[in-house]
Amino acid sequence: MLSYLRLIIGVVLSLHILSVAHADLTIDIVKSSTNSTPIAIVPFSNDTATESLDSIISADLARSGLFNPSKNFPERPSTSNEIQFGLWQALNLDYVVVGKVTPDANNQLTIQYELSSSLQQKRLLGESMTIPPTRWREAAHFISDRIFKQLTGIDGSFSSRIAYVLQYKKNNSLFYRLEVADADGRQPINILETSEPILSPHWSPNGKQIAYVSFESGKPAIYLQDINSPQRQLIASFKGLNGAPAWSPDGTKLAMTLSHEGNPEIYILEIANKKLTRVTNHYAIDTEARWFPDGRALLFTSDRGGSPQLYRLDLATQTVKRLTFDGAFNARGSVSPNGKYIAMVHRRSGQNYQIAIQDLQTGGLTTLTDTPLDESPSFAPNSQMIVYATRQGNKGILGIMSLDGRFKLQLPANEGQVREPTWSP
Amino acid sequence: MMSTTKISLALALVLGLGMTGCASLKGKNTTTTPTTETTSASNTDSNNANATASTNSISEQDRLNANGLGGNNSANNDANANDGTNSSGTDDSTANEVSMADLLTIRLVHFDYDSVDLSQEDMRTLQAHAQYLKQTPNAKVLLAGHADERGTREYNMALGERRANAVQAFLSSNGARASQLDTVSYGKEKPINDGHDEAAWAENRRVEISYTANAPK
Repeated sequence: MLSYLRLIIGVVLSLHILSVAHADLTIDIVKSSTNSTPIAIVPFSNDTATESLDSIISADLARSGLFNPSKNFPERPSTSNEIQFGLWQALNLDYVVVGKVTPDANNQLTIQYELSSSLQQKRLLGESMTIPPTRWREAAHFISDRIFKQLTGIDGSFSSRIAYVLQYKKNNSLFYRLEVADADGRQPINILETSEPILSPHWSPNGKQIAYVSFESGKPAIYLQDINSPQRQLIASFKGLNGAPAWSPDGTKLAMTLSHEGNPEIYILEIANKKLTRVTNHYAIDTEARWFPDGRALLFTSDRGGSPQLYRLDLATQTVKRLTFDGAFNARGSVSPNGKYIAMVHRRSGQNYQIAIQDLQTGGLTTLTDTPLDESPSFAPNSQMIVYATRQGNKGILGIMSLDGRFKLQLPANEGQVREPTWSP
Repeated sequence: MMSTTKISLALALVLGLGMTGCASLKGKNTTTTPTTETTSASNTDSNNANATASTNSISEQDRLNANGLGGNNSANNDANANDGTNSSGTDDSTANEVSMADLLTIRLVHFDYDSVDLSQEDMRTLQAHAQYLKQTPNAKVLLAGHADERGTREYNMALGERRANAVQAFLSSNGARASQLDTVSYGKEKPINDGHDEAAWAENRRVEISYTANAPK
């Protein structure tokens, strides 16, 4: 078990080879859920870190909107054997997490933790892992994922990451930076910095690369960039538009918007042999393709019906079906990894561009935000949360929310404008 | 919605013919009923085109002064409007020369919301550039299309390209060679006005004409 966990941590977490860029995004919870499950994460014994494991795990679980971590501890046990369940039941704390940290001779840390139910008076989960101290936060997110999975049956997304574009001013000039941060906005690393716009980042399905559009040459071009090395590949720089790259679920192809044949159309590029196939053919604007999880169809934006709306293109039959009928503008669709929803930028009428989701089975559309200019919705890998770009005054920030819109938090940057978030697999 | 816009613009131009600039601006506002977002945006758009022309024409101001046409900045705007009228309505060759030079200093054309249609006013500007490009085979321009901040980034990228293409097609059909014209779209990535209101949006929906070789002196 121990070596298994070690292996997982080794694979899941990546090294920060590129320089750490600047201060983290900070978190403000703007809207809380009312029916979240109470849980207590007891400070781990011998946890002397500046940021304790219990504080990181509590913040993770709170951020999901499904849990309400308490700071009220009637006792401070470090193993489940020591827990007096009656004390926790009396405080209506259904679940208790305890643990301890043990340094070993090789400057490694062993972290043991246990999750118990005070109602059932039994241990539900207990694991141990050994990590180098540099992977402290990753270990905490890993524990959060395990707790979340145990209690909800759904994979946690706390170990995932978010890529986004930061625009900032230096010496009166604008700069653009592609950054990757942990899902809690922390530990941002700098992937690319240029004085020309960067947009439309999208993760490869294995989480090792990001496709994006950069104007660094003066014209738009699509690059595939390694996350853990400075290596990248120029994949599309045709005449005209080179936009909206989207990896296929199997990672072998990229859908993209090109206009070198005269009109903005969606193409599929096979990455290995560079074979290019045009898949739309209409005088309207066709753009912003995303793959459905089965890889058999694309979601895309088109104004072929007179206003921008979302359509589904079946790749085998080439049939196109309009999916959105509600509202004057529906664009930049994103399919949830479980295939149940599409998120989009939605304008009903008037001036507000909000994030909405549509249930693909029922067709029902729900508006989740009420801010004026929201953009770029992207689902968490467990399909439970959406990250999007929004504005706070004149500042571009990121928002994260549950699918019912009842839980929201914001990730403002200390400097500059944050936009174009995309959640890693 | 589009046809309403075109009619209101046409009315504004007709009214502008026999009036001073101030009156013509007033005329624009009174002849249009801003019932829709697009209609009201077109008003702002036209006003902003004038405003831009005046900010871009500091050296032109000197020329106008030398020709006895200049005055304060707003009078300068009026001069622009009237010169445009003269060039199509009379064969006063002196006025034509001044007009051509004036029009060549305008390096911006503007668009309505979600539209790629050129206004009559901007067509006059572009005719001057087309003529210059025709007469100056080694001159080259980059046409950069832009959109306002509303809507999604990639959709706006496509919209910006269509605006740049509309200007390219107009210049091309008016005598510019294909080799003289290059386009790029920046979508909404490079606003010239950082505001979040109609005036800012109207200013940002534009094509910028940048001479990359042999710009008009």
